Amino acid sequence: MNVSDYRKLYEAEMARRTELAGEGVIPVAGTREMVAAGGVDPETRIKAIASLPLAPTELGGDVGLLLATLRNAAEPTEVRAAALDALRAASFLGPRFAPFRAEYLQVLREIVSDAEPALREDVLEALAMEKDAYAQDLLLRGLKDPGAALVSPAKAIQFLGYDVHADFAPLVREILGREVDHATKEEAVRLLASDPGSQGLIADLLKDKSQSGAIRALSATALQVLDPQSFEGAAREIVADDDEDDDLRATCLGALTHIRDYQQTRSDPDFLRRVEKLGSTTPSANLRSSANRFVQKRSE
Amino acid sequence: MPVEIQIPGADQQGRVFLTWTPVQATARLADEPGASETVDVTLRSAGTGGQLLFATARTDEGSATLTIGLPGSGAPVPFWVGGEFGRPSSAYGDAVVEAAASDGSVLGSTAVMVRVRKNAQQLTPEERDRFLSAFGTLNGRGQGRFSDFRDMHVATALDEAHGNVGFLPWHRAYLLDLERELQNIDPSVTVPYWRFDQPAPDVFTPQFMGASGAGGRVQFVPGHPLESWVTDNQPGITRGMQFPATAAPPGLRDETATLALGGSGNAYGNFSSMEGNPHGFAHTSFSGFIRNPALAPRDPLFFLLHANVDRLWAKWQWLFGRIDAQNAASFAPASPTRIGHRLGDTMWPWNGVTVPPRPSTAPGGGLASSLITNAPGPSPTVRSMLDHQAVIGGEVLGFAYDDVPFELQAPQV
Repeated sequence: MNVSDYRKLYEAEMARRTELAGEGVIPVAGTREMVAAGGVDPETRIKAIASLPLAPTELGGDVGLLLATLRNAAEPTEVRAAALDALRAASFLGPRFAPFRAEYLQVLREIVSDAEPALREDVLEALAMEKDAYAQDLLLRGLKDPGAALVSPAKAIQFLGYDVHADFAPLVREILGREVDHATKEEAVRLLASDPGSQGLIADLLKDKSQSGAIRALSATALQVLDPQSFEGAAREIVADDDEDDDLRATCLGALTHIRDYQQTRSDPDFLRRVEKLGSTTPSANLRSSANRFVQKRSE
Repeated sequence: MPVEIQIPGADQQGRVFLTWTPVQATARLADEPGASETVDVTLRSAGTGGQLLFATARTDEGSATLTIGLPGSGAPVPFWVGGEFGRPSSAYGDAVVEAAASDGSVLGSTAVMVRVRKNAQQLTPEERDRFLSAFGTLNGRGQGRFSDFRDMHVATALDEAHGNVGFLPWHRAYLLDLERELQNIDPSVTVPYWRFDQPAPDVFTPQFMGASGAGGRVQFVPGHPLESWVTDNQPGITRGMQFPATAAPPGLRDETATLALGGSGNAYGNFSSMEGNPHGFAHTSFSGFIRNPALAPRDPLFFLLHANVDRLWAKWQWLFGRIDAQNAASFAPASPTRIGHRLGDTMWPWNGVTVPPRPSTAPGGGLASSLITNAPGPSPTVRSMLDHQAVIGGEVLGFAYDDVPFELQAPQV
């Protein structure tokens, strides 16, 4: 394509789009007024929030307005959620946002028990990602006493997991030992992947054919973190077992294919032959793809 | 009468990778007949995928064919070759430089790849799978080289790359470093971009970057290269979509509005406010890792998001001629003044500096090298990130975008 022609086309398209977009655009000068205007419909206010400049030199004004909106329980939930999103976007400005960070976290703590579940969950996630002790305490209380829970156990474990250096493993192991829903079990397995004390438990979950495919697949990845050698041995057995779940076999083969550590398996001619045969005989599309990728990668 | 074609930057297997920027190559009569006459040879693009353009001088207006005279002495004759804009490769070898005699018979050929960053929504399944495979290997169940990239974008290092004018150059270097590491695994791979102002239904699938399942956990097809993705010793990716995959996230500035951010003077200082919107809003279009600055690189989607941020910068640079650091509108003074955000500053972590105000560790070492270029070197400066296609001279950085051309005489607007 001729570059000059491309430029002309692109510039013309830009001009056309600029003209179209001009209709309905809230002028920058009016965005703050629109955000603050209580009588305006939520959709327009949400659009105004997205149009806030978040310019470095004027961030204080925008952040102040957004915090006030978020804090106000009388505001429509969707407008508060948009304000939270905009604040989280502003947090990507790093040092620019730093002067407002303490107030931002304080507002989040104030509204964390908000009546609206989706907003409550977003707020707790935001705090948990900051490893906020207050939020962690609330999450732990909810796991110990379901009546005090602000989010589901699965979400609570997921959010606690954002603090990778905290030791929530003993509580989560205990939870895993109870009758819990599948989502909670998944989050528990994920969190325990970083706990050396859970290695045996994870290895057992992987081998346990009564567990769901998702739990066993997760356990496969978790075991790779805890004990790669043990995983390699278990994965080879699973792949070789024609009575095993085909999706799990595909998962194990995928790990053996793409992770360069597994040299013993990658250099084993018998294993390669078995996988080659799988690639041509299995009715499972996922396993066939996985097998063929292993063979292809092995030959590279 | 064989013709030998030499294109610089070949790897150890003799593979050559080109972008839109022409490079100077040579052709010569390999058997050196020693005759006094010159043999006319036509260079042409013969591949089924990527297409090439040829010229006798460095230009953005090459031709599909070029006839040059090769002396019987076997002395090499220089010519320029680059990818034809809009016609990149899909795989290595689908672009071919062919030398033909006057009767059309082929005297020599070299397979190459016109390798550019593409829209993730438009990748072929093969391109997608090669990228994913390389990425999965780079992660290496959390023990691979990727852990350094994760450690470069943590809470204690965010000031190096955010909230100031160095945001775009730093992330350009970050992406380039990662891409070169992927290319060490598979040289045909580039980092695709997630065009976040358009629907990308084929990106958020179990076959590609994962579908968001219940509880905001990403799900892949069994055996997927990212199924064993581990960061911070935790498996998996947390990402919930706040918008339907068949639509673009609401509230983001689109490309037209983003490119207009520079204002009437098309100045970088104004344009870089895109860090807030669309960049920040793209991040917060999801729940999970990518929504928090210190956690975002735990999600591999981060790199596709930032490839689009970088593409927007590259597009703006091309559109308004903002490549030359001597032009005050091409960059802006750091505000506030901070090391790492001025044109002449080297960038952490690649400079290895751990003295305050820099972070106390510098993971990853120098920026990865490339076989096709010596630029920007292991310790890049902010300035070295501006002219990535070597429009005003120097060496290319070795990447380009499928929709940002190499143009020598871009108007200064």
